[in-house]
Amino acid sequence: MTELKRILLVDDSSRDVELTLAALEQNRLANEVVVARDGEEALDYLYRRGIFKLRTAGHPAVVLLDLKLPKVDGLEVLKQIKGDDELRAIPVVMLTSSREEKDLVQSYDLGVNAYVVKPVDFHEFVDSLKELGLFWAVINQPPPGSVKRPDDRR
Amino acid sequence: MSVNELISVSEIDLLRAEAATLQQLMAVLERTTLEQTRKLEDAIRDRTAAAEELRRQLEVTRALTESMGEGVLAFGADARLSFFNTAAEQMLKVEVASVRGRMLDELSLARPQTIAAIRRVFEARTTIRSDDDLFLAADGEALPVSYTASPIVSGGEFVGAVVVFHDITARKRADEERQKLLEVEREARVQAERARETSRFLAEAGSVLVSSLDSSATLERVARLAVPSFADWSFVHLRDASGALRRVAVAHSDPEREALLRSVEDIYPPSADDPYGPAKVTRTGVSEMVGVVADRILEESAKDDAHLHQLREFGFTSYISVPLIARTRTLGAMTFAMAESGRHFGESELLLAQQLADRAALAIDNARLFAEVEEARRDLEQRVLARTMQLQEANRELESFSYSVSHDLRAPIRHISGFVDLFRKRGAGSLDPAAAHYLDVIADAAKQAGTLVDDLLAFSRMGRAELARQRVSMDAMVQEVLGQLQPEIASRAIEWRIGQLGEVTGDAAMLRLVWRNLLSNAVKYTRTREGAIIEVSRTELDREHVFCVRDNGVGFDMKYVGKLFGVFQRLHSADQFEGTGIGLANVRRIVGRHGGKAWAEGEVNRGAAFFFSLPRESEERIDGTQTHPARGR
Repeated sequence: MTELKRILLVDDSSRDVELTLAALEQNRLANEVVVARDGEEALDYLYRRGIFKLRTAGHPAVVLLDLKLPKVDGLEVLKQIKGDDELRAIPVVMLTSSREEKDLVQSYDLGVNAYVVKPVDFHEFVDSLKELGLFWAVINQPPPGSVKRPDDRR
Repeated sequence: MSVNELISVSEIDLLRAEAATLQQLMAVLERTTLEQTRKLEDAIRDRTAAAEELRRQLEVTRALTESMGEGVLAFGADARLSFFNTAAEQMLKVEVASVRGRMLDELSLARPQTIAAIRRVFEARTTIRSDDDLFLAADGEALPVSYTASPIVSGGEFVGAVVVFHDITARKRADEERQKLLEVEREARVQAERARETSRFLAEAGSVLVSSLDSSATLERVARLAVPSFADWSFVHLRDASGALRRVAVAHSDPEREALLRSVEDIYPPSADDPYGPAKVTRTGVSEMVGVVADRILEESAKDDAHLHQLREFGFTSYISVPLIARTRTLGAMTFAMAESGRHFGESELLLAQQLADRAALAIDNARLFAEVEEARRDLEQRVLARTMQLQEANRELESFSYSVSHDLRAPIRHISGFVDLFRKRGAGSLDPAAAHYLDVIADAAKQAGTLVDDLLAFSRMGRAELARQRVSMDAMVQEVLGQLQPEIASRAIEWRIGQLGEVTGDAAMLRLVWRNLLSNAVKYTRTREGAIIEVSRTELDREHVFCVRDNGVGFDMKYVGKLFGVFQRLHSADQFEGTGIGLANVRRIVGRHGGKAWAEGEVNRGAAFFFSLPRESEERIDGTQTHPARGR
């Protein structure tokens, strides 16, 4: 039996959050989704500080991270996660509207695990999430070696 | 005792014997005497013959000496003049009688030093010679001669001396003539050399003047060239921006003198009211030549006593100062001066200096014009740079704008699309057909807006992204694109005529987009044709490969061909043929970035042909120059 773990969704757009949740639901991946509205909140959650000071311990199965965020942007959050020995193992999926090549390159440079451009077509979006959800949320243990330190890059 | 008494018989015998002996002696003596007398007579006869012979020889000698052109004088051992030939008589205008028997020392026929020289013959018994001396004729006139004085030795005995002399007046005159000619020739050679140096100076100066646009360096070189051949000193003074005269060049063969002059002139710079020299020439625009520098000029020129002292010390003998005039403006003056060489300038040097000044002025003027142009160019460059930076700034803003568009505009479109979908799922059963249609339109519009935004961003990226050049098989690429177009092609009966397309060098992703645009266009615009034909071909030109996609579709009017490749320019309504109007703009941009061109031909209802060329040269700079490093994840 598959155990659904917690998903951290970081997105400042309530519409996107709603759509993402709907898509996850359609994919029957509606396990616990924690929503952070900006980069700072996301980090607070991960480090169990601020409003998340009292949350139960444990890392999310996956972080779905929007690129463009208020306060601390997505790339900065990614950088902090991948630069922290404690958090590095958490799979991070960039979920973004941007097709800009430089964002993609930077994300991979920082050690992102997957990069998904949100398609305009909702069905495509649902399909994308389905693949991601199955891969990251269903499997308990992230495959070893799937996370690389930024300075391990060639 | 008496003889008679005392003589005995024996005594008488003795006496008789004695007498006999005496008689014999007498006979011998007589014989000897006769013999001696005969011998003497013989000797006297011989001597007479010898004297005769001597006289004869003397006559021959006299005849010989008389007939030769040389003067001959002979002296006895006692240095008395014993012989004087006619030639000597004539040359020295002397009567033999008046001088014969006179002592050598008493003769006034030569200068004392010559007499003394000849005297040496008597003392040292050696021969002396002189090729160039003077004898003195009786009338006091000097006679140029060459002579030989030799001792006369007879039977080992010094018996006198003979002087043989030759009139060298003609030779002397010829020598002098030759000397004069040599002098003239040497002078001519010096003149020619000077002329050559002058013309060389002018030529070199001329070439220096045209060779450089840096006027101060040029003038320095010209000043340097003038010394020492043309002048001992040369100076160039120019007016500066304020109109004050400034020395820009000074040259002298001795650097120390040059430095001294600099320091003197730094203390006493030329001033506008100078009565002489560069300042005056610059003021009046009239050349000045002083053939001989009089002290008065120095006095009038000196600013004070120390200055006068210095000016005198330089020892200027002559100078020329000529104005540098260009386009009716006097820029300054060029000055040449003579000093230690003691030379003086003349009209020809003045003329030359003026020619030189004219060229120099022209060069200075050119240099100034060039500097002005250069200044203007720099200014322009500065402005272009500033404008470029503004443009770059604008470009950055535009980039960040398109980034915002990408992120911010796509989001609401995506939301419309997403929520329409969610709505449809929720109310699927309760929607009447019209409402369902409205939802379809909303969804379509959202999708179209999304495509538009995506295409626009892709177009902007095409202009910015670096080209990742590599070998690309056009055959494979066209097949790949046709595979992607399969959904549209599948239901159609299209006759494909695809030729050999070969390989090119270029950015694969971009070239793929070119093919995708052209092929999908061809498919799209032949949609209304029963027997659609699409041809893909390649033509080789000298410097480029030309690819062509030709169809027999709806075509277009050539008068709108200019609009075809513009962004958002469409020749068909969206209802007839869907599209964002960015595809061909992208084609042109991509091909342009590869160094090629894109163009089209068409006719309404008869089809269209789209061409693009790629330069062959690009094939040379492939491999190893891949601009995109492989990206690892």
